[in-house]
This record gives sequence, structure tokens and C-alpha cells, in this order.
Amino acid sequence: MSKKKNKSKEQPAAEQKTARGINVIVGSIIAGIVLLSLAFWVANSSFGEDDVSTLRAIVHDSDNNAYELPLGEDATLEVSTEAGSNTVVVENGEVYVSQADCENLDCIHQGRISSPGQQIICLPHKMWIEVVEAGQASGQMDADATPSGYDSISR
Amino acid sequence: MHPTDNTLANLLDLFPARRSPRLTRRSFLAGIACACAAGAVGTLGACSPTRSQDASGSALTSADQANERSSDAAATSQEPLRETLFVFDTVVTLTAYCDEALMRKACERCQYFEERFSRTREGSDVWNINHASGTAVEVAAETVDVIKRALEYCERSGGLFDITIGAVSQLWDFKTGIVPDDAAIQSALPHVDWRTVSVEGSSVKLADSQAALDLGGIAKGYIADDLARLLEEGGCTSATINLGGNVFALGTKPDGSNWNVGIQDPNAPATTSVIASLSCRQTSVVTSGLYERTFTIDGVRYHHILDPKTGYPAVTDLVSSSVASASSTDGDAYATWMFLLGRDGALALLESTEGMQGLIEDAQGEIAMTSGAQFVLR
Repeated sequence: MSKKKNKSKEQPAAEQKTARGINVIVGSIIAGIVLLSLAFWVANSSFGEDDVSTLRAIVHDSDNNAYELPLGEDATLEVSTEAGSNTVVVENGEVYVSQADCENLDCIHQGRISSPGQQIICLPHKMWIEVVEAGQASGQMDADATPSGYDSISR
Repeated sequence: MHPTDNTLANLLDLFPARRSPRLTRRSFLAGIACACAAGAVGTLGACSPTRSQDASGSALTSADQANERSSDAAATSQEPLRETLFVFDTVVTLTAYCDEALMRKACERCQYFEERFSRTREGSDVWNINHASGTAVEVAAETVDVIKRALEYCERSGGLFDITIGAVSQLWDFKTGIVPDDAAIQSALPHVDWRTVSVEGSSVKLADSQAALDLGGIAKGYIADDLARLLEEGGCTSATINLGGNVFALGTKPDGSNWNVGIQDPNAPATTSVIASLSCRQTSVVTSGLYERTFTIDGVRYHHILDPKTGYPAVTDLVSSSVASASSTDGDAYATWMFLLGRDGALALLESTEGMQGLIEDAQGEIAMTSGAQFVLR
């Protein structure tokens, strides 16, 4: 350590000046990278894939109706057909079934969903809910009611 | 609306059980538009469903659909068609790179099987056999075929797999959670015996008039194989067929790469979490799990895989068994059979069968697979 210190002390003035110039340049580059990363991080956190404003729940009932609910807006939808009734709720960017008049209440037990490709299915009422991204087709292969990365789920 | 559109829409209304009517109608009409534009039926496959984002929170009317049709015609070629149906007491999802006509054929085929294999649907082949009071019943060729295949498994498994479990299974109600009286189970048990089934030509007979068929352990596999064949014969080389979790990955992805099939986590059935995956092509992946169709009364958990010897849910140390094989009929029967064998017996069975890969999870949460199996654990 002391050796290094001595060496730099012995450097001629012109060399020291150049070194300082390089330091300034390197410093600026590092600062630039840090600022850019920060900007990307901010951009990602506000416009990334978890942004609920781009997501929608589509509720399909047994009468072949399809209802669209943006996940960014809290809402309650009563879906009633001859098969039965389900209460679909959008809350804090998630969609779930809060009430149903079927016997097993599977749809309620399936909990809350909020990612593209996820589904809630009420078998007795032939009602189902899917989450899709705005501007994307819901029937895409990788969104085959499966978590991303899987084409199909064996259960 | 153009009168032709009305006719087409009406035609499509023949399938009320369909879960994605909007996609279907629009893609179908888009297909017609494409065909007209290109002047060739062969281009139908290049048209695919898309979904625009509108009408927040309100029902989408046919007028909405009509307005969106023009944009559909310009859809890209790399999107598959997808159909979701409520049949076989489960949810069926067909995803295929094919033309609309072929997809419609596959959907009609599902309805065809629903009308023949259902135990509860009055007038189905199985219903007719079960209500024939011991006389022979003329049935469809597919019904004869699936029963013959099932009987092979009944014999091979020494009755652990038994399609005459219907006498007992009709007493249980796993939807509403009803445990039958023990007396009822005991009086039904003697009528569970696959040797009472006889097949001659196109007729099937139950010698025991109180016996009843239940094809639940094999029908989905048989139908998956049939649908795969139908799609292939129609020229489709890329599709996934999912019959309530009974998967057939047909061919490869359009780019020639393998499909990636996930295995449901039996301990988190309500979610879409997986315990393993299999990269495969032209392969059936069937999973049986204790988590499906279960209910709990007074702390006792009842699951839907019944033991033909006791009439009660099978006592097993397995919670989930998966089989990957070329034939989904085999995979379906094996997955049920494996459950009744338990952990060690299940692994031994698969090891002794060529061309089958297995993955099981036991009650302790331990996951095991057969030697050489290519499942990748999460």
C-alpha cells in the first residue's frame, strides 16, 4: 500500500493531470450507468408485466356471454344463468369468486388470480374466468390455462 | 348483420357447451374471410382468433363481434385455435394449429363420446348397458373397443382395476360429499366383477343384472387417443389435448421443438403450481391424484379412486401418480391401477413395462420416478 502511494507521489505533474482526466471520464461513465439503470428500474416497476392496468379478467358464462373486467378497477359482477349464480369480484388487481350457489364451491376455493393465462373454473355452472393481457389474444398456446413456460398441465 | 353471418353463427350455436364461443365464432368467420380472400380452403389454418379489448364489464354482443371481424381477417399465422368444452364431467381444452373445420370436427367428436360413454346420461351406450337387466345391448364400435381395452386391464391387474366399479361408484357422490351407508356398499360389492362383462360383435352384456359399468378410469385416455388420431388424420401436426388434466401432446410445437407438460402439485390443487415437467413430443401424460373430487366429513378425507375390493376410497400411500406413454388409454388405466398398488408396486409395475415413464409423490411428500424417466423436478 505504501509502495503505491509513493509511486503516485513520484509521478510527474503532466501524468497526474492525465490520470485525473481519466478519473473524471470513468466517474462520468459510472454515474451514467447508475443513472440509466435507475431509469430502467423505475420504468420497469411502473410499466412492467405486473402492471394491472394492462390486465383484464374475461368472465364466460354458460349462455355464451363474455364480460371483460379491467384488473385495474375494483368491480363486482353478478353472473347469473339457468345453471346458477356466481359473484365475481375484482379487488386490488386480482379477480376471484366471492359467492356461488353451487354445492362444492370449487370456484371460491380456487382463490384469487392475477397473471395472464390463469383461470378459475366453475364446473357446475359452466362459468370460467381467465386473465389476459390487453392487446393479446387469449387463445395463445402458452396461455393454455397454465403457468408460463408450460404448454399444458397434467393433473 | 349480413344474413350469411347469421347462418354461420347459428351453425356454431349447435355447441352450447363450448366455453369460448366468442373466439370460435370470430375465428371461424375470420377463417371464412381469409378463405374468400385467398380463394383456397388451405389457407384457413393461417387465420386465427384474436381478442380485442372493449366493452368493459358488459356482455359482448354479436354486433361487437361483427365490428371486430374485419381486423380478425388480418390475424397472424402463428396462433393456434383453442376450444374449451364442458364435457365428460370436466373441462376439455383443445389447442391446435389447424383449420377451423378440423377443430369443429374434434369438438363434435367430444360430444359424440359424451353421448356414448357417460354413466349418468340417459340413453348413452354405458347407461343402456347398465339398465339392460342382463340382456345384450348394441353399442357403437368405440364403446366395444374401449370396453375390450378396459377388460384387458381388469384381467392384468387381477381386478384392482375394474370397470364394473359402477355398482359402487354410483352410490358415492363426490360433488356434494355424500358417504353411502355401509350396508349399501356391502350389498353392491358382490356386483363388482369385471368377469360379468361379455362382448360379442357390436353388443355388450352384463351377465349380472345389478352390475354397472363405469369407464371413468380409462375413457378420457381413450378419447384423448381418438382425438389425437382425428387431428393427425386431418393434417394437424401440432396440438395439445387436455381432458381435465389428461394431456396428449400431439406432434411438436410449430417450430419443431418439444412440448413442455407440467405435473400438478398435489398439495396445492387449487393453484397452478407444478412439481415437475416433461419435455416431450407425441406423448400422453396422465396424472391421477387424491386431490381431485375429494371431501372431508368428521375429519375423514374421502377421495374418488375407489377400491373394487372394499367399495371405499383406496387406501394408498400415494397422493399423485403420473404416466407418460405413447397411448393415453394405457396411461389412464395405469395411473388408476398404480394408485391401488401403492408406491412400491406402482414403480415396479412401470419398470416392468416398456415405453412408460412414471412419476409419483407419496404421502410423505417424497417424489420418485422410474429409471430413465425424463421428468425434471421443480
